[in-house]
Parts: sequence; structure tokens; C-alpha cells
Amino acid sequence: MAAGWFNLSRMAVHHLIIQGKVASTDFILCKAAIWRSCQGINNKCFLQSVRHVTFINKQTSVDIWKSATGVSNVGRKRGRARSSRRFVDLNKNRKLGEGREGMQWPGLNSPVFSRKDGREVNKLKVLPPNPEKQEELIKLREQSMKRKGRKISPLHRGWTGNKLPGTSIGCPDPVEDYTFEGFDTSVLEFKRVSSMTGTMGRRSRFSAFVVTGNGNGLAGYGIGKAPNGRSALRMAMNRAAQHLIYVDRYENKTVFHNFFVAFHKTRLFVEKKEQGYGLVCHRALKTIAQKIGIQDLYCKVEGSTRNIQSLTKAFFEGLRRQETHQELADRLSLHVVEYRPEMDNIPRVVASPMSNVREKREDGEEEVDFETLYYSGRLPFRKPKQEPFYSKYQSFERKMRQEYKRRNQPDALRLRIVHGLQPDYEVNRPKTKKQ
Amino acid sequence: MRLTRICRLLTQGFTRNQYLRTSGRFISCTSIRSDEILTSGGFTKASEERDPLPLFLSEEVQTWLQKMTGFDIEKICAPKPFEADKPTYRQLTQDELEKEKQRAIQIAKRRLQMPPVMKIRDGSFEVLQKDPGLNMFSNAKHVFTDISFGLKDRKRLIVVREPDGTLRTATGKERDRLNHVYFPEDGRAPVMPQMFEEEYLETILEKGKYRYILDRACVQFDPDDPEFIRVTHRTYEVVCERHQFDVLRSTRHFGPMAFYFAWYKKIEPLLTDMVQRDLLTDGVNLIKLYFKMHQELSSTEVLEENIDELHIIKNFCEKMVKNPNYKGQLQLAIQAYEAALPLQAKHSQS
Repeated sequence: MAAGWFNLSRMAVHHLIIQGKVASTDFILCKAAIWRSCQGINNKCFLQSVRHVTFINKQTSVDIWKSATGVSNVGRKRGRARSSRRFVDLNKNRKLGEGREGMQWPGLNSPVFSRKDGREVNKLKVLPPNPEKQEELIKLREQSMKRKGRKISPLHRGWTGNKLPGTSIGCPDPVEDYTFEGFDTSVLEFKRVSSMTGTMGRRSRFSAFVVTGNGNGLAGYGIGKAPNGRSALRMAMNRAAQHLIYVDRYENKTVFHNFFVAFHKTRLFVEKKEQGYGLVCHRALKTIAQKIGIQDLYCKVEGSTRNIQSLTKAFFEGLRRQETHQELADRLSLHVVEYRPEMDNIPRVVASPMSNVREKREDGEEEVDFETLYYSGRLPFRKPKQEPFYSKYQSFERKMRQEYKRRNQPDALRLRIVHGLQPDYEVNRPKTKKQ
Repeated sequence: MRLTRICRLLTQGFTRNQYLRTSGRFISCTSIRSDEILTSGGFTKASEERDPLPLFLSEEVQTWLQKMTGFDIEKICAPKPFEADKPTYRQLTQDELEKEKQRAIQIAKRRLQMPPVMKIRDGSFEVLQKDPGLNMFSNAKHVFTDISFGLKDRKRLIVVREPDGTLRTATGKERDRLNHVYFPEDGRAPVMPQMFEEEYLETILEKGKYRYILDRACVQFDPDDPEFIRVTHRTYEVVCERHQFDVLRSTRHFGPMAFYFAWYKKIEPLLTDMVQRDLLTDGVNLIKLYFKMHQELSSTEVLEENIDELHIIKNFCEKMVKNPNYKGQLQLAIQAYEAALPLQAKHSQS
């Protein structure tokens, strides 16, 4: 019994030391205090001379943790701090006086005097053990150690991972009275760039390349550089708002015609598409098109697809140089007529010339091919679809011959089931274990 | 041996054909299993009715119906609900554009071709031969179909040998089934889809998909099929109840619908709609059609000579409309039209 409580008292003192609240020099003093408080229950207390001088009670918990997890300044600069173990606060949620075994310490974790009359002194008490307490503490500690990441909706995450490109950063700052209402900005490129200076050596900054637009034809792009990423983004966004252009769109859906445009090594072949086709193009172009308000588009990029800035500049240039149907009709003095397959290919006049229409063509004059009219003599390279390697194997031919006989069977089966001519075995099939 | 195999397959719901070549004609034999036993002539209920087809096909009636239908080319050739493809563009001179417009009108006219209005086909058949020697030769009927090239589905010879040895011509239902086996129509299901059954038909009509169900019925049934007549008549009734005639304007179904209302003497709601929409010529045509169909009624009171369209409709409202409800609605529409006349005149002057 006596040895038991002594161990407990040792534990309590260690507890205090680890918490960093009591220095190890106060050890004896502390022990005496505890001894005094428990005199009431045990008169046969004895003191044994023990030297507790190890590093564990000489150092504070902070120092001890540093010895295990610390990284030197040099190491920190080299990035070693990243991979080192993190400091764990073992005393998190733990109250002073609580240990592995339940104890009631008057004056420490319970009042000194009893509540009844206020005269009787509370006595040291051993409480029944609580085995779940320790697990609970560990659980609480682990919970508080976990990082809480902010959940972003999949539509607002960027193109990839936790990166900025593709994310939206709001509308530009107002200029005098004009607030950019309805505008939205998307990051296209965000990177760290550096330059050498005579006085400061390598000077690195953040470079942000963004596009802003109202989704209704008005859009612009801008670049900003600043030592701080946030201010670089802001600078780029406000510059983009200063360089807006208006893009004419066909039926507010797509471009007026197919066109070719190049900027440095980046070459774009943009195709006009029917309603409901969607944006089938490079992800940066898709973001730009969304900001402009183009909904249906196909684009093939030849050359550099990684140079986002060239890509953007080429796309904007191509859009700017478009010829509307009205302009085309005026240029040729002919009607521009549209044929849509879903409308039985009836002719629909989309533009007529302002001045006189030509009655007849000149001799030998051929009709212009609208598809390739704005490709400036180029055509996109369309890679023919390669047949799979096994397509010429005899075994494959044999298989195809066998399947040819059964080619209509699945559809016929489905029809029979639909019309109730045959029971649906799939529905009533008992579940079998896979072997 | 082969016969038993055929029969066994048939019990599983399959059909097996065997082609015979006889004197230059291809005759195919199919055995079908059917619970209905036909021994005597079919019912003659349908044959008692008057046949609307000759009247419907007469030139005068066709002209009236076509005029009533209207010709809104944007609606006739409206985007179809299937996958769109990219549009093509051409640059045309004035002459070329005129030619293209003519072509478009031809396309639209084809789209407006009306399905014929016919009486219900009778289920009768003709017994060709009775051969007691063939009694119980099989437990299935054997159907012989002339599948020679160039024959029309309605003219094709199809005969059935019953298990008791009777040889007879096929009924309408059997003809449909056999014709579909050898010459399937695009989009026609081998068995009537459930949406034409009464309960499901009501849900579709509730959603207002009149055009869809009528188009679909034209593909699925022959025009004298009892099912076709049931489905179309029910649809016209719902359209009339809800006063949504305009949905069917510029479609191939407007003419048969107007014909149906005139045939069963309930043109008043449609006439009211025409007055409300300022389509008096159509209204007069409808009245003319009405009197042409029912020659027992005297048209002299209504269709007087040398009077304008509004007066004809007024006469009709006063003398022919019996139902007070319909009469009130039509009178209101006429009053509203008359009230708007001076405004219209002013508008056209300015």
C-alpha cells in the first residue's frame, strides 16, 4: 500500500515536470507538498533518498521534444523540417492530478474542504479504475492533430489537384464608378519566376496569368507579377479588366466559322459546332470560352500546348479576326444560307448583302467552301484511327464470323422482354458466389 | 421431323420460315400458334358504317383541309429531337436561293401529307377450302405468304391452313403480323407498345404529347386498324377538351382532326378557336366541309350567296349550334372579333 501511493506521488510529480509547469529543482518541495496533503490517510509515510537526475526530469518537455523532432537552422533551410516528425502534445485534454489510475487529490483535482459543512477536510481517495479514459484521451489527441482541409466543390477546384490554374478568383476591382458586375476571373497560369539583380542576387516573384469575362461576349486577359502570390493575382485580374474586347458570337453559342490562327509555335484550328456539342478543346481554351460565353466549340492545337500565354493570345486574336456572316455576304454580294440536318436541311438565310444581291455567278466562278475558307490554306492533321494489332489475326476473323450470326440476338431478346413475350431471367436470377 | 422441330420452336415463341419456289412466285410458309379459333365469318359491325375514305380523298375536301392546316415552314421543319449535326453553309445568288426555297416547300409539303381517314377494317375472312383429310395434321396453323417482289402489303396473298384442314384467307391482325415478319417497317414494333394501351395513353395525353403519340401511331398502325382509330380519336377528344388545336396546326394531323370533328358533328370548339385566331376563311371551309358530309342538313340558310365570311359563321352559330354552352362560347368569340375590327382597320391604315 505504501509503495503504491509513493509510486503515484512520483507519477504526479513527473506529470508536473513534463507539463513544464514545475522545474526539476522544485522536485523535493513538490514531493513534500504532496506528502503533507496525504498525511491524513497514511501516518506511516517514509522518505527514501532517491536521485532522479536524468535528462528527462532536468529538461522541459519542449526541450525534450526538440531533441527528437528538432531540425537545425541549416537543415530547415534545406527543407529537412518538412519530413521530420511533428511535436505531439501528450498532455492534451489531460487534467492536472489525473493519472492512469483514478485518484482524488484534495486541493488538486477536488476541493480541499467538503461541501457539506465546509469544515471537514477531504481526504485522498483511490477511485475505481476507468480503462476507457486512456483511449478517450488518445482519440481526442489524434482528432486535434488532424489537419482540417477546406472542402471545395468539384466545380470550383482547379484543373488539377490543389493548384490554382482553373480556379475562379472573383470579379475585378471597380474602376471609379464602374463595378465589374457579372464578371468572373479564372487563373490560367500561376508560377514562380526569378531574375538576377546586381544588388539582391536572385529575386523571385510570382507570375499570374488570368482571364476575366462576363460570359456574354466581353473578355480580356492579363499578366501580373509580384513578390506575393495574392497581389500578383490581383494585379493580373485588374490588368485583364483594362484590356477587354468584345467577341461577336453566332447565336450567342459558337464562333462564326472555322478558322486557323497561330502565335509563335502554337497553332489553333478552331471549328464551329452545332448547339449542344459542348467545349471540346484544351482546358485553358475551355476556361477562356466559358468566360467569353462560347458554349459549342471544337479546337485542335498543333505545336506547343503547354505555353498557356501563347495559346490564349492566339485564341483571342483568332476570335478578333472573325468575319461575321453579314460581312461575308457584303463582301461576296451573295446570300449566306445555313442548312441544319435536324431541320430537314431547309435553307435558312442568315445574312443578305446590304446592297444589291448578284443575280448570277460569273462564268467559271465556283462556290466557296465555307468549311476551309478561313484556314489560310492549311488543314488540321487528322490522324487516321489505327486498327488494333489483332484485327488481322485469323482467330479474330473467326470470332467476328461467329458473332455475326448472333449480332441481333441481344436486341431481339431485349425486345421480347419489353413486350412480355419472354420472362426476364436477369431480374429473377439467384445470386451466385463467384469462384 | 422438320415439322415437329418447327412446332417445338414455335412453342418457345420463335418462328422458322421455309421458302418454296412455285411457278415463279416465292411463297413462304410460317406456322403460328394462336389461341383464337376462327371457323366462321368475322363480325360485320364495321361494315355497317359509312366509309369516310372517298369523301376524305375527294379533291375539294383535300383542298379545304390543306388550307386549314396552315403552312408554317419553321414549325413543319422544327428541330427534331435527335442528335444534331454541324450545319453547312452556302453562298447563294438570288436565283439559286429561289430554287432552294422551292425545294424547301416541296420538303415541307411531303411532311404535311395527311394519313387517310378510313373506317375500321372488318375482321372477316373467306374460307377457300375444307379438307377433312388434313384434320389434326399439326397442332399449329400454317400460314402461306406470297413474298414475291413488288407486291403491296395490302394486296399480298396470305392464306392460313387451320389444324382442322380449313384453308382460309388471313384476318387483318394476322396480315399485319406476317407482313411485319417479312417486310418490317422502320420504327414499327412487332407487338403494340404499351403506350397505346388505354391507361398509359391517358398519361401521355395528360402531358400534352399529342403530336408525338399521333406520329407514333402513324408508324405503328395501318390507318384502318381499330387501334389506330381508337388512339387518334381519343387524342382528338383530349385536344378538343383542352382547346389546344394550335399544337396540331402545320402538322399532318390537323386535317384528319378537323375531318373527325365534322364527321361526328362537333365542330363548334374548333370553329371558336378559328374565330379567336382570326382565321375566318378556315372557319368557312370547316362549315362547308360539315355540310358536304351531312347532306341531310340543308345548307341554304347558312351558306347564302354573296355574303362575307363573318356572316356565314354567324348564321351557323344561330341556326345550327344546339348546345348552349358551345353557342355561348362561339357568340363571345364572334363579338370579340367584331369589337376588334375597327382597331384592325385603323392599324392597317396607319
